[in-house]
Amino acid sequence: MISKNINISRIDKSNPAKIMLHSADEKLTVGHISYWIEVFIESNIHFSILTRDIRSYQKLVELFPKYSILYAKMPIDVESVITAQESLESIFYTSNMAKNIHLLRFNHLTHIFIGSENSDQLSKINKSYRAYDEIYVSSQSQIEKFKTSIGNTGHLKFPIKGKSQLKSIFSKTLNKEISTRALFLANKTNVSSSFLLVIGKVLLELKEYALYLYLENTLYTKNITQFSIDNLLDINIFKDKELLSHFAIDSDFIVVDTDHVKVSLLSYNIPILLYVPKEKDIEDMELDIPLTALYTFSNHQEFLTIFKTLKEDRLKEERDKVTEYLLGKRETLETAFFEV
Amino acid sequence: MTFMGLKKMLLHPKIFLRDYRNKNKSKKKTQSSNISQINFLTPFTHILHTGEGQHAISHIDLWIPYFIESKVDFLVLTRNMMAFNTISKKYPLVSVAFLKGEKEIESTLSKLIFLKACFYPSNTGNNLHLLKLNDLKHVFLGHGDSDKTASAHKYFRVYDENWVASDAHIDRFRNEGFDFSGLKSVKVGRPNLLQILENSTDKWRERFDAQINFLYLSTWEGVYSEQNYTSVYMATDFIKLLKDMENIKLRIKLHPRVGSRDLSLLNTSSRLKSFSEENSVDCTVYERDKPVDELIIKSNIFICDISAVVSECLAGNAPIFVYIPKDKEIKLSQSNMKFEEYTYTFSSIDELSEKLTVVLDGNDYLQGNREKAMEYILGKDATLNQKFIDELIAIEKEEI
Repeated sequence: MISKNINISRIDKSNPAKIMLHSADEKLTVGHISYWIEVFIESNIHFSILTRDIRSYQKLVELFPKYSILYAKMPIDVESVITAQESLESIFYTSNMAKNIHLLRFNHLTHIFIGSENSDQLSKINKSYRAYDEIYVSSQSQIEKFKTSIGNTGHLKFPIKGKSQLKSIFSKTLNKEISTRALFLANKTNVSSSFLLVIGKVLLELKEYALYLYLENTLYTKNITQFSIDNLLDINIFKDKELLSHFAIDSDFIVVDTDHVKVSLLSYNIPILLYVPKEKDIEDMELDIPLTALYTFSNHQEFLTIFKTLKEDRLKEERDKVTEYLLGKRETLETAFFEV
Repeated sequence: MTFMGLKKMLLHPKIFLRDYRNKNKSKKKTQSSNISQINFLTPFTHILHTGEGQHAISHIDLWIPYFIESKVDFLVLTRNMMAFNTISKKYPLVSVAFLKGEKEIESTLSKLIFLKACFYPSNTGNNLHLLKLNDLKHVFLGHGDSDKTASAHKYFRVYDENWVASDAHIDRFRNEGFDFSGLKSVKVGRPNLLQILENSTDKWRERFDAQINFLYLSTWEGVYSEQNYTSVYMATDFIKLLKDMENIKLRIKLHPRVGSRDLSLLNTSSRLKSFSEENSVDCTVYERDKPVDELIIKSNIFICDISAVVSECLAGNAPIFVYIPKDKEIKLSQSNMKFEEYTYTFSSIDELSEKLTVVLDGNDYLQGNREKAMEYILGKDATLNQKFIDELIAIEKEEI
């Protein structure tokens, strides 16, 4: 009888897997695997992927039909998955779920936690991570987070691997050239309106620039388009987050509101200008990037002062340090993710 | 029932039934916690957590008497309604709580500000919800002492401390060859075996008016096929073997989970009862939840499988015969003392018969090693000195 709780029909017997990528989070498995699969493909190491819920399995088979994607529901099914892959040496975990215990009991395998896109921001690091043999971290900052949170990290190894997914951006932006392009990021909360009022004045000062404006709030799209026509500005509004990276790579600087201060912005190797509404106390804000690496302004005069000295980019050194500390840029460019 | 309810039942029985079912369904859905027994003014310092369902009681039984004896303020935390009901009923004077999910755990435990440590008798996935509380000390207790692979694997490293009976368990981890340097091993003996140790000091042949009391303890088929070491398939052969012996008594207790994976084993108890009657063997087959220690204390020859009960039988200070299946690779988390060194191992009924005859004829050649094993595996001294209770009290005084 064929069990509905397991599907290992995609095991590639002619190319037995040495490593297995595992995700047990029903809601996030597809996202997690999609985030990592390119890194695994590029490694040229034979790998399989183990999913723990049928929907994610089906979706992943549809998305990546060429790869050895497996499904096991119960502990006994996981055992069959391991038994069927004799060459398996290591398992890579994208999430720290209770179900991981079904695999962690296999002492002959090396258990490595690699997390997901947002793992660096993990605030809830806890002792259960000690079940793994290694935690691949992007940078020193993560190691410190672990040590502060759980104290005794015992046997755990923390190889710094950087962010493989940012490798291409890091390479492309190593030596930036002036492009007279600028990227603006605004969110959909009520900060936007005050941000846009200030930005409106700022934009008028950047007539020679091609401007890319990521706008989550469609309410303002009409106004800005009209503003752009009235003032003969080259403003390109976009809503697709996927395009963000595309525009950022070619920009000279990025202007953001407080909700958009994401660590990944550091990968573009350009100044980041943060708009801080006058009424907010900047010291109270919990930002993903330290203030020492950000230019801040609250009105268009302050923006202009910064803009005029941007060529000198006095914060570059500090930004580089922060980029290394938070994203492990050097390791990303120089270290192989997999040690074969 | 209200008048309206009664009217509905009589006039519209179908609607009444539907509403009744829906009412119960919604009740069931909302039952995610029961904290009625927690007195929030009690400065609880210890939590004894079980993530199990029907097996929770047997795990809790092993430890709860010593938590009570230590007089520390402790709370039994269950994650399953059935476990909550069973434990509450059996220990009405103990504070027992039921908290199903992570949210309930977080909100309730945050109110218990004196908590210092959490104790786990088994490795269940939902232990994770408590392990997220970094400020607590997390201690694995286990529910027996076994050579099976489940007793020493990498997941144990999530705990701060592993309270073990004695050196054998620490060696099992060492011999698995992985790094567990962050896990502190604390030797506490086997508190539940204290009474057996104290009552088994006489030579085994001289107990029970020279009657031989056999105890057969089978294990089950195991969660994983690699751990299926049960001899239950040859249990009728054991009975036949004793058929012509005089002055003997056979007691049988099957592992509570026999038949969970192989359904053909579900009626084993009644089959064994009938079979011994047919063969005129004085045999009692006990309920599966009968505490093993109560039977060990009455026995002076043990027949068992590779499982935690082997070490419990050691406390009985009498010959132990252990079934080692021949047809499969035995994966053990081996200590430095192998079964063959202190138990009479057998893989067939003939081998059992042969070794049993030698021992019953007076040549108990493993007696010396058995005594060594009592210290190495059980931690006889730590047990007799009630080290477990001392450690519980020490945590209460610790600054965490």
